[in-house]
Formats: sequence, C-alpha cells, structure tokens
Amino acid sequence: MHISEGVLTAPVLGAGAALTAVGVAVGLKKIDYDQLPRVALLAAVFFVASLVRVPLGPANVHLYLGGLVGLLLGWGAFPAMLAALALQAVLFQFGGLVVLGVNTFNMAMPALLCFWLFGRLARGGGRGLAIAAGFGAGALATLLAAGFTALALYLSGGEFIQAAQALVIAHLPVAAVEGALVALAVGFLRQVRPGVLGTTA
Amino acid sequence: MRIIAVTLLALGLALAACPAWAHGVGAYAYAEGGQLKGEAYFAGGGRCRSCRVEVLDAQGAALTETETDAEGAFAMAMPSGELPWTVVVHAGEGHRADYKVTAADLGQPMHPAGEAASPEPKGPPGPPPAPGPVTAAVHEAEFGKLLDKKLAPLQAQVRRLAEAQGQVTLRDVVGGLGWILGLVGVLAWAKARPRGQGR
Repeated sequence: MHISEGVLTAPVLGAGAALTAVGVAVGLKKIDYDQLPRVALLAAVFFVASLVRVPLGPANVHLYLGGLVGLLLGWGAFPAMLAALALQAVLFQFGGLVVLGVNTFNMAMPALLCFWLFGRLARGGGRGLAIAAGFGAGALATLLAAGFTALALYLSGGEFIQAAQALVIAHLPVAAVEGALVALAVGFLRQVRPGVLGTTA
Repeated sequence: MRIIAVTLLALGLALAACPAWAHGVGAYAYAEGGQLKGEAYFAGGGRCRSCRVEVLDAQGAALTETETDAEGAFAMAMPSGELPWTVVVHAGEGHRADYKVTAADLGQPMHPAGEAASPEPKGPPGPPPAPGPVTAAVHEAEFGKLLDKKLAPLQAQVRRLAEAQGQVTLRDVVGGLGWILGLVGVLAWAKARPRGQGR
C-alpha cells in the first residue's frame, strides 16, 4: 500500500500532493482543541500498525486501520496520517517524501469516506447496527485504499485491472481482520465513551 | 478519555512488540563466476519471489532484465554498459528498490569506464611479473576460483547484514511516537493561543 519513490509520474505526484494539501488544511481547521489527545493516539496507532505484517495469504501486506482512524477523526485523518506517513518515510524508508502526497491521499481519503458513510450509524443507531457499521468501515477502508493505490499506479502507466485485482485480492484477508478490529473497537467505545465516535468534523 | 488512551496505547505497544515486521523491499548485487548475481528481499525477512529485475546503465538505459527465483535470488550473464549500473527490483504494488553497482562491487580496479575489461575478483596487490601469458591466465583462473570459494561465506554474511539493516527497530518506533506527540503538542499550542482566557 505504501508506494515507493521513483514509481509514479510527476502529474500523479502533483495531483496527490495538491489533494492532500487541501485535506490536511481542512483537517487542521476542523480538529477541536479537546480532540487533540485522540488525534495523537490514532496517529500513533496508525504509525505502528503499518509495521504489523498480516501473514494470511501469500502476499506481503500489513495492517492499515484507516477505518478506525476515519471513524474517530473524520477530516482529522488527513493531518494524522500525513504525520505518521512522513515519519515512516524518514525513519523506516517506507514509502517516501516525494510520494508522500499520493500515499497520504490513498490512505486518508478512504478513512474520510468511511467516516461519511458509517459515522452516523456508529454514533447513533442500535448496538448491533453500530458494530456492523464498524465492520463495514474497517473492511471498506482497506479495500478502497488498495483501490486508490492501484489507481495511482495505473495513472502512472501500469496496467490498472491487473494491479487493482492483485492489490484488492491481497488485501481481502487484511480487510476482514480490520473489519473485525474496528467492529470490536466500536462496540467497546459505545459502551465506554460514545461521544468519541463520529466527531462533528 | 483515560480508558481510550490506555486501550489505544496498549494496542499500539502490543503491535510494536510484534515480531512480524513489514516490509520495505531491498536488493543488492555482486559479481560471481562471471555472472551478475543478487537478491531481493523484504526488510526483516521474507524473499521477493518472481520479482522483475532490471539493470540500467549510468544513463538509465535498460541493459538486461530478469526475474528472481523462489528464493528471491537472480543471476544473469554479466551485462556490458557504462558503470555505475543501477539494479532495479520491482516487487509489485508500487514497491521498488534500487542498488547501485560500482566497479568496486564487480571487483574491478577503480579505473574510469572504458578501461574496465571483463570483471575478475581482486588479485593480490602488486602482482609479480608473469613468466608467460598462457601460464599467467591459468594462474589467474585458478586463483579466481579459489577466491570465489573463500569469499562465499563472507558474502553470505554481508547479505545477512544488508537484510538486517533494513529492519525496523524499537528505537525507530519510539522515535516516531515521540515526534507524533511533539507535533500534536505544537498543534495544541497553536490552537490554544487565540482563545485567550476562554478555554
């Protein structure tokens, strides 16, 4: 899911950087002062999650947790993931700094989309429905992130259908695991601290 | 808030302690027996199977192409082109690793390109004058084979070191977490300032 340096073409890199800049600007404005500890925690968890390899299936894939970050931060997912991905690029050489804009957009946009689609259900709604929404957010965010990555590769001259298929299929086990994780998190948070889910951002 | 903090932090630390590190791809290449060999790997272990390998010359023009085998290794006839070469490994999903092959990697003396002939392992410093051209060639071939054999375990150790170097350490993770806390702290200061006494 992290695209390396030197893979994408300049137009794709520029578009990704521009879109991410917009997302980060909106996210920074929308983050409330009281939400900052949450932002820090989720950025930290997202930062560490990419290091955990999911051994299911033949491909080399890692945890993503975009669904969780999206449900809890909304637009704040953009600045949180930008910081985490920048640090991963500098400290671990995962991804890169030139390709940071594209990578951030690929991972933050699915988080935001799942916030829009599932946020209200996770916050309000019955308990069963909220847990199902959590599963949906976790799984869909992962698959969308794989899809966006494939799109970025295609726009740089790769073969889209093959790349998309390979990426999505490789991430199906991860999507299931993430769906379960986010469902558990939603169930737990609704009992303990319901105000945290689906911020008004 | 405290329960969320503890839970998420515990999750984060538990994940950090997990031995299943992912996942940057790396590669290296060297000369052996007149071939250009190498390996492609994922940092922290794991081989890059059936990954496309390209060799580019100093200008970036493609010289040869091959694929890694089930062990992540590749071997090809020694390409000819202007050094330094770049060995590019495409691991799929947008992952790519480069390795620069210099004259030193090929065991050639550090002369400008053009003087370099077919690569041989480094001989002893200051070779004695050879008694005749045929005998010298035979000696060098035997010596080359002997050096290949002696250097193989050293090369294997270097391979292991290269793989370990790409591994993510706890130090890096802690450093990253510290930076995240620091950045959010700066953001908190920025958001708190305009409010004055309101909050």
